[in-house]
Amino acid sequence: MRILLVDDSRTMRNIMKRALESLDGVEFSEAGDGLEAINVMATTPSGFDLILVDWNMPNMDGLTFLQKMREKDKKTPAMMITTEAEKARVVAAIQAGASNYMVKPFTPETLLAKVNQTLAKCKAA
Amino acid sequence: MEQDIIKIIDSIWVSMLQLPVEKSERPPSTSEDKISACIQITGDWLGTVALECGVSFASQAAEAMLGLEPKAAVAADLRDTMGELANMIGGNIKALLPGDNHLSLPIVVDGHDHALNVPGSKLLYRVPLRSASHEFSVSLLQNEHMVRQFKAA
Repeated sequence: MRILLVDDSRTMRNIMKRALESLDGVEFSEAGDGLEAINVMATTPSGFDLILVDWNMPNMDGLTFLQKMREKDKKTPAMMITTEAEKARVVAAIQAGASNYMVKPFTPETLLAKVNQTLAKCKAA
Repeated sequence: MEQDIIKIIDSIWVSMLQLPVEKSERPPSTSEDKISACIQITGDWLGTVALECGVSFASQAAEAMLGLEPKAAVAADLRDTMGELANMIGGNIKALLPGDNHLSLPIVVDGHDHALNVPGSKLLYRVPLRSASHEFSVSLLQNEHMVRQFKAA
């Protein structure tokens, strides 16, 4: 399983990697903002099985990244993981193409559960 | 609001650092270098959230969040960790504020004997806290123009 982690904080990317390293055969790619994530996707022809993306980042935020990504890719599951907790933000993210939404902080267990839920939901769709 | 801030910090600290938090009567120590991370809230509500602590606590937090051995965290790790903690505190406080608001990216300052000054702002709350025997504080400042508006209303 290939997962793309998009977050400007190396600390957060590291936390996500440690929380998800138990997933079967997982491999991670990383990007520090939406623009870099678009480049990583363009240079990864095999694609990703899951994308985890932060909202507030320099250069290109997570919402814009989702909108741009969905212009070309309607299928890859993408989960927004952010401190933006308001309902209006959740709605905006889902409308932009997020498959699921999670508010920081989280424990490793809750992140793993949410990722599994997202993968199952997208597989069933 | 002060109790809400304490609840938010406790939730973040327990989830991300596996450390409990309690209210303290003392401000962070001034005998060591400190790190200040702040994030601005803009929109219907204008203000700043600031997290201030000593480097020893920042090191412990970075080691916990990055899964590092004791003393293995470098300055960049401390700044990144403090910025992310300020981001989480700011985002969760923002959700309690009225109106539609946005978060800035975090700004982190480190070194000895520095002070944060946010021009045109009034300190609403400064909450001294303790975790793992380290003192730290979280402050909420509001743009003074908005404070005057609310008083006049």
